[in-house]
Amino acid sequence: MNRFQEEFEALFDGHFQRLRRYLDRLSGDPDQADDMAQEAFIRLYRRGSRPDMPEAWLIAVATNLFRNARSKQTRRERLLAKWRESDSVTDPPGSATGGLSGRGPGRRVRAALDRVPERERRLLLLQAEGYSYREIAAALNLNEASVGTLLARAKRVFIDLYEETTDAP
Amino acid sequence: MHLDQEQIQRSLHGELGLPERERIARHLAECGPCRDLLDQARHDEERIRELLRQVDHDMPAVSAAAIAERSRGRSVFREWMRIESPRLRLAAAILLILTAAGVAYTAPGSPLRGWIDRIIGRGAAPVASTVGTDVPSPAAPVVDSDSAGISVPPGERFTIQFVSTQTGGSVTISLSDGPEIVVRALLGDATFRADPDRLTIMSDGDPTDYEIAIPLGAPRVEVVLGGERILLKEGDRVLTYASPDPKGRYVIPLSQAGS
Repeated sequence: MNRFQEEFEALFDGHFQRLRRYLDRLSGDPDQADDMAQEAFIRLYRRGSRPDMPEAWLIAVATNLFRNARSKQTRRERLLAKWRESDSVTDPPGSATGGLSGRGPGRRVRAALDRVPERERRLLLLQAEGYSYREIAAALNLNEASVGTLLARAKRVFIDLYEETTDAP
Repeated sequence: MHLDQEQIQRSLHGELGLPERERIARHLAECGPCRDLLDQARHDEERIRELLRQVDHDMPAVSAAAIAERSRGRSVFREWMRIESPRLRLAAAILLILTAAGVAYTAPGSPLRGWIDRIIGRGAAPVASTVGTDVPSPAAPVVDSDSAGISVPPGERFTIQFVSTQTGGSVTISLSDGPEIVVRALLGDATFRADPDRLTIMSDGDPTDYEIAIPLGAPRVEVVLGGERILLKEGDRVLTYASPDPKGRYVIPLSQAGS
């Protein structure tokens, strides 16, 4: 095993689970989160060398994958909406958007989380995974000196949204 | 002087240097309101962690070795040799050849398209172009005609790279107040690959128009077509051979760049 492969294994052991959990919480879709986390590590392996800040690099790649996936999903939903309007068709079972995250005890949390603006949500979730302020600043392109202030704001937004979200279906 | 939110959050997350930590500890020993703020922040933190656990899902185990194996990919030939049934092996070979032919036919600049068109007479007889493979499937044009887009943080240095030269189309580049570079493909199909310091844009060769918004605050962003830089935004300067239109946008034809 060469040096990069050893570094890769160490990075995988240290970061795969939390990157995947971050993506799961960000997207609300565990299958998509699993795919994106694996894809980020595949790209790291294919890169063949360790980035200067591997954690920030992985987060940035994974976040771009998330945005690409979200963008495709949005377009698909828009096309489906047009199609429904023109053909008056009904949704096939299980095709509703957000269906994966709309049930269970976390429903209210999910609803609140989805309403938190994306930058604040990413900040909140990355910190919850224990990433350092330096890594978060590098990954989200923020000034490291203001990460704490932005984080306090993101927490406040999330708690307020959670408080005003009801459990009603 | 009371603690601000930055100091409170940093205290909570162990993000303070030693002198600052000692100074804040001394202040907290004497300041009740700041101690209350820190306690409240700690309470919020624990509550948020508890709430976030409610949206977690069970995930399958994945190993580094499996990722490495997927990264290396498997030889198509090796996979083909592993097929035991001769019929299945023949079917796989035919499928592989058809796939390769399809890729070669649709690749931008491929001579295969011209050869086949000549063989079937489509090039000589325009009427023939209304039949055959030029007729897309019912679903395809709907997806292709919709715009695709991506936004990425510009970082310190960023490159936007168009990898295929089109026969038409253009890119409209503007400066924005937003925090991120936004790229949209209009009326065409494009694929984006985002790396931390580079965005690669691939199209299937059909004319596609793009819009790119570059943040005014981005330190350095360059747009490259093939091997040629068509625009550089560095600090306040914008270097490009195109002149800005009345709205301050640079419209650059993709097929004529640099010519």
